[in-house]
Amino acid sequence: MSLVETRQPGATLHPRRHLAFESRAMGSPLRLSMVLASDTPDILDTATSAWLAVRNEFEACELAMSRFVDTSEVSELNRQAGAGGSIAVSRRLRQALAISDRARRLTRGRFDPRVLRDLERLGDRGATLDVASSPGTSDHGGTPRPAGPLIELAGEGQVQLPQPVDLGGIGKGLALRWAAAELVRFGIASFLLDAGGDLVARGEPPEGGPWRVGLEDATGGSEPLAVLDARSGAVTTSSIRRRHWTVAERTVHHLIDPATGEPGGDGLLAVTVAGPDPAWSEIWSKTLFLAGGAAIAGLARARGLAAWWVTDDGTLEMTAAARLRTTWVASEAGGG
Amino acid sequence: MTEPRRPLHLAVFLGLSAGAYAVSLAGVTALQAQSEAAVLVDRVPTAQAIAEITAGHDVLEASADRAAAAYARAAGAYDTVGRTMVDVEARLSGLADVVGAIEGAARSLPSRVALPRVTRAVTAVTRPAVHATTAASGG
Repeated sequence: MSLVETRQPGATLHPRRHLAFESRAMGSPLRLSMVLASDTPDILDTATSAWLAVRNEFEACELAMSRFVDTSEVSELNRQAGAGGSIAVSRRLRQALAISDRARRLTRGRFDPRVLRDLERLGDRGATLDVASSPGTSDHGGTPRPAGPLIELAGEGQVQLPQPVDLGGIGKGLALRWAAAELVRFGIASFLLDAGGDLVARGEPPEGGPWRVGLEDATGGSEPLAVLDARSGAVTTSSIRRRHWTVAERTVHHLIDPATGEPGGDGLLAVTVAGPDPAWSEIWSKTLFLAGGAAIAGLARARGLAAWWVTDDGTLEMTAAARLRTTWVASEAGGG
Repeated sequence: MTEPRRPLHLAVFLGLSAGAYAVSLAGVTALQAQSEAAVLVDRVPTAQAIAEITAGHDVLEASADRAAAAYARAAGAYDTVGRTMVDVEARLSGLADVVGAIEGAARSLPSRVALPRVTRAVTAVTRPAVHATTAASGG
């Protein structure tokens, strides 16, 4: 934890305290910046308790929804998938499955977490999952998905899955949603919570104005492609910059198109979405990515989303709603 | 010369006969009057029933008149609506033609338009300091 004291421009009294915490959660760095307006003696206790609540929330979400943890609830549920058995799940996992199914319906199947067998087939392995006993593959090589819902309710708190799921992205979005709620519960009005590139912001930074968020250069450059304003809400990115690998002499990545069972998003390297809720921003960033370069502009504009995307030639494009939140663009400033 | 003798008994006989007839006629008339009075008394309830039926018929007839008038008004309104509907259908048909034309024009538009490069940016020239970076997961 680091304690940084800053002052607003022009202000001479009541310096605002800026505190920063850092850890790791769900396979990514977890960073929290918070601004405390009051300068009470127990300010550090409050901040530390809030940070502890955030970490506890992420740990609980990881134990519920991470496919990389062998003992997680979703790993156990995935092992039971398709066998007809139902198991009791926690509130977090139940909500994650419910929102995933709603997202699947809303996006007409473009967002569908039932791609775990395809990920494992392509070599992105998580917890133990008996792929050898999985259903046969379809013509395109992907695992055929049932037409019905991805979750079946079986009594009080009990669910069963027809097919295993990957809740990685939406799990982190929900962890951010619930952790931000914890910070608000502790009375933290201004904060920026960053979970490996997916963010939630509230209030203002210590120097005032909006929180500034850089848009990573998906082609690999170290400088951001643009800078966005994030006053209150979420910013999430679906990108293949890090999670891509080679299988049978072809490059694949982790963003699987449910329609084909193969890596999707032709023509795109990354999609960023800003919205009020991190879980839904995550859903839409992945959905827009899977729409591909040919369809992303129409879909994002039709939905009124604030979305930025990087095409495979490194060009940054954005919707009108995104333009309103953009402070700086490298290519327009002559620096890109 | 002797005067012819008048038959007085005949006159008496005629007088008596006329008297008897008059008495008989008076009796018959009295009996008829009594009978007619009784008949009239017997007919009073029937006449009252007839009067009530007549009054009910009048009420029914008035209702039928009102219903006929309402029906006539409804039929008139229906005719008016029918004429309006025809007009609306004609307008919808025209609108469908316009929509079809717009769709055709929209289909003929290119999916992407190359805009001229903006030479003067509205964003800041120097990059502002950032508090975080949104990026691919796993970093």
